[in-house]
Amino acid sequence: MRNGPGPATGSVALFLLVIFLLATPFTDWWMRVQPPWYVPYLVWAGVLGLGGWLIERGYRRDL
Amino acid sequence: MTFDLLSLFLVGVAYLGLLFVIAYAVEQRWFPRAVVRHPLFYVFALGVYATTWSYYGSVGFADEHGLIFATIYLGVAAAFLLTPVLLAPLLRLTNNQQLTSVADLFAFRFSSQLTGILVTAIMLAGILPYIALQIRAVAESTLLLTSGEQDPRPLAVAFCLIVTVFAITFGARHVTPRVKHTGLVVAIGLESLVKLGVLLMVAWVAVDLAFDGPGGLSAWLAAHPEQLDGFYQPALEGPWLSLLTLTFAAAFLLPRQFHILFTENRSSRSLIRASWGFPLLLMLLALAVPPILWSGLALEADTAPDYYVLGIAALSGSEPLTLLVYLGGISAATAMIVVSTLALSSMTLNHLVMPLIKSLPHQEPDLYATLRWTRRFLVVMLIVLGFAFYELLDRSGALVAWGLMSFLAMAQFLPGLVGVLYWQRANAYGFIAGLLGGSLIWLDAVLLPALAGTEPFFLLGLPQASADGTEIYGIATFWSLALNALLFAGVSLFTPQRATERQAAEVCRDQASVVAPGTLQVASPSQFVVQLAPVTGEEAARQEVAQALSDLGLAWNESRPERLRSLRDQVERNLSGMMGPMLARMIVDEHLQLDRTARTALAHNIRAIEERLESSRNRFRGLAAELDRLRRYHRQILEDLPLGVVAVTAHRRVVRWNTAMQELSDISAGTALGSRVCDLGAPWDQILARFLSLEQPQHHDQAQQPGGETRWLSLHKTSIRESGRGRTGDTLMIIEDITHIRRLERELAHSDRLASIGRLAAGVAHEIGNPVTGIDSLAQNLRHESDPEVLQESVEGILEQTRRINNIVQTLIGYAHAGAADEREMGPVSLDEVVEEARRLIRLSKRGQGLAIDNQLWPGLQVRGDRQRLAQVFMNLFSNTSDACPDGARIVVAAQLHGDRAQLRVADNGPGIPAKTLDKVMEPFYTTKPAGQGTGLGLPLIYNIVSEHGGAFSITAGSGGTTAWLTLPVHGAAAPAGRAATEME
Repeated sequence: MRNGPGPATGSVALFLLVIFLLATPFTDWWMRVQPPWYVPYLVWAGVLGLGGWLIERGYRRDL
Repeated sequence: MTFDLLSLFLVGVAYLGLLFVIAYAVEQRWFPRAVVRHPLFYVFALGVYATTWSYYGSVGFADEHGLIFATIYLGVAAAFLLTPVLLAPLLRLTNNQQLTSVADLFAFRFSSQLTGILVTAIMLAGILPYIALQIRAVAESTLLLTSGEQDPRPLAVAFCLIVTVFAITFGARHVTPRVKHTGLVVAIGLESLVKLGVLLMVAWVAVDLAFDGPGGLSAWLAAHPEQLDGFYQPALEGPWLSLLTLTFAAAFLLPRQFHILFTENRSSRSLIRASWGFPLLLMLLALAVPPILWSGLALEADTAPDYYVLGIAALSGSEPLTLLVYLGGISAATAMIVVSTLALSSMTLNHLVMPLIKSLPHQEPDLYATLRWTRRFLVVMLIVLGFAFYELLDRSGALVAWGLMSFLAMAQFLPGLVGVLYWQRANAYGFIAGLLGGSLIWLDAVLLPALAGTEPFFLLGLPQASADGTEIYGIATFWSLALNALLFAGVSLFTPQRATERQAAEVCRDQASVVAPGTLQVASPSQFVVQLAPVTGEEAARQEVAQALSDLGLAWNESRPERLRSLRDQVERNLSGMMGPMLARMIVDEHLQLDRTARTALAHNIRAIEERLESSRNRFRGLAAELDRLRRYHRQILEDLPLGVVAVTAHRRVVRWNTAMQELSDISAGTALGSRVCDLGAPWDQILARFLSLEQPQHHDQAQQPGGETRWLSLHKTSIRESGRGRTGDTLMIIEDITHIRRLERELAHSDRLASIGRLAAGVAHEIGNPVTGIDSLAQNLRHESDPEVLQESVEGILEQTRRINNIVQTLIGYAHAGAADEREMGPVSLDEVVEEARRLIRLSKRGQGLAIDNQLWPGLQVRGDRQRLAQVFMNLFSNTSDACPDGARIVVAAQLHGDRAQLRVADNGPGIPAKTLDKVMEPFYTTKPAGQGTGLGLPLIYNIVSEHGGAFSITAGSGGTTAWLTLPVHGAAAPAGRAATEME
């Protein structure tokens, strides 16, 4: 029996974070701030890295 | 920089030819399997998502709408984040049910051919503009490089011809889409790699050319703040959220995405890698867009922003780079068209063409040829239709508008997808209503204005067609999806759900098929072929059955009903992959019918049901999980029972074979389950068949193991009842290995015999003493006798006395020598002789000499058994009577035949046994005799010996004496005329 949340929980949580970043008033805020053009890519890469780590970890535990 | 048209044509053909050679080499296994099946190729093949729209059009999109261009990548990344709850369940479902397209998926879930037709029609209408987009991009990019002002249509036609050849060669080689196109996946993956490499290279060259490096770009942006403003501001005002929704749906619902993601998938590991690898690939593609855009603006490239990629490459003055960029565009367009036409042709074939073909009165029996040629024809037709859309659509707008048209069509399947994965109550009526409602808005707001220049319906507040091409998607997405979802939910709630839909919904939720009740009417794989041949042709039927047998690891001689049921399911799945789930189900239901009235249907399907429950156990919740735990607990009780448990159907098929039985028989459950009892092999076939044919619920038998070891078995059986149906005809047998008990009993019996001999010792001495005295007298007389006649008489006398002694000794030896009884074979034994032998023995004892034994058994009465052990039965009975009765006791031994069994009565005229004692006399070590005179084992031994002979033993007692009743199976024709049922009074 494994402990802790499964990969589904982590993925859904991360998806909600992405919704928060891309589809809420927070989105308007960071777009109005106009960060350097590469900043959204850095955040994007961070979310991808976290998502990949969560799913890979979950897959290894389910093996 | 300009190129000769012929050169570009040749370069393009050479490039596609190279990809074809690579694909061919992969199919021919020229490369190691581990390499070509590496998840990396799968991830890159998913890059087919990035078509000429992404490759060329994203820069133009970014120029017009700033950061909104990124939504076509971000929506996909969001969808892939949900891999564990969205893509992985879909992959399991499509793999398990061999669903090869979105139309298959919905037709299966809603169990409706109409659903498949509708989905296919919308798919076709939605994707054709996308194919047109690819044709347009290739034609326009070729014109740019040739600086031609001529009509682009001949170029478009030439491209269509090349791609058609390529698509047929690549995509329509296999009869069924369930066959993995490894070569195609590798080639498409390489194409994506070319796209990515070229775009990153162009971005680097562009920044270097325009700004002398990334530092220069930052300085330029600082000097031109309106560029950064133009990057972010449109996203605040444009349809950001709507486009995210559309691309979220497109990530896995576009036919090409669905095909690569699910149909070409080889393992869940590949999907896990793709869950982050593919979004990473898209992020790198998106990363190149802003630098290329700003470089193009800074360099004032003379192409439209849609073609800045090509324009900047040309500005760099590098011919190889420009050609590479051009080939990247060819790659993007070709890959999209090939995979899309492959997926769409399969969908069209399954849901539009095959139902028509099957409804024709005279059908072509060769299914494979029909499928192959129809698919090729459809590929051609799809590309022709794509070209027709290219002709019809307004070519003055941006590339992105044609792509979004397709995306909005795909998004109409999102509500239905909720029904597939999460909402079991959803039904076909709701799905069709929602899909029609949403698609009508799509048609009204997007497709018709683009095709025919009509105006969108004003009540929904949709902007006019002349307005911004992207703006309309914000409102159209909202209204179409809102109406779609509302109709889907409302109609589903207020209309009934069919049983087949409920069943399919359960399969979609639990990922395991419900086992349809009933027993299969065909009895062998060969009969499968016979049944399927009229509809598929004999060759196809044989190949499909062979494939299904191979998938399940079964042989052609398979006859186990539950395995044949699995074969039927596998054939249905394989046919589903070839011609769609509805048609496959129809064919299988019609030609491989189930007898749903069979009483043993449940027993036949137990294994299949258990396997499916096992595969679904992690998905049970609440009461279902509790029930499953209870089921597993009860099953474990049977499995862990230290007794062999065998359940057989009325047709003598084994449906339960527990662990103890596997150890006892050395036959694995996998072999035994589903087999007929007569196919189990010696000795179990005979033992179980013999026991099943007996009426009595208990039986003793012995099994001769292959190593020569003999095992003694105690068998019990009972009929199985099914709640509400009474007896099913199935039988449950419990088999106990009593070999060790038998050995103990033999040792006890031997001890008992030795004790008896001890008690006989005085009588034996007396019996032997008399002839010895006689011999002594005769021998003394011989000293003085010379008359030959008297001498001869004396010698005869001595010999007679010696024979008498010898008889006594032999009887004792025969009785006492119990050893090695396990090895002694049972044989015919005359009961008459056995009783006589016991009488001689008991006469050796002092008390036995006064016993009158009336043996009324007739000479031909024989049973199958062990003579010595049966003698012990009578010896013990006579001994008990002689101990209990005063002098002058009389015993009558009589018999009566009842069918194939003899009932023996051994009655004495003694004082009888008190009722309170009678209940205990069968208990071992219970004795009423004084201490040291009895072991208390006599009657229990009799009971065991008789039971082992397949008989029964009981005692009754009254004031007139005690009667022992023995029932034994007779051997051969035991009853002489007039004897049957007449011996006992």
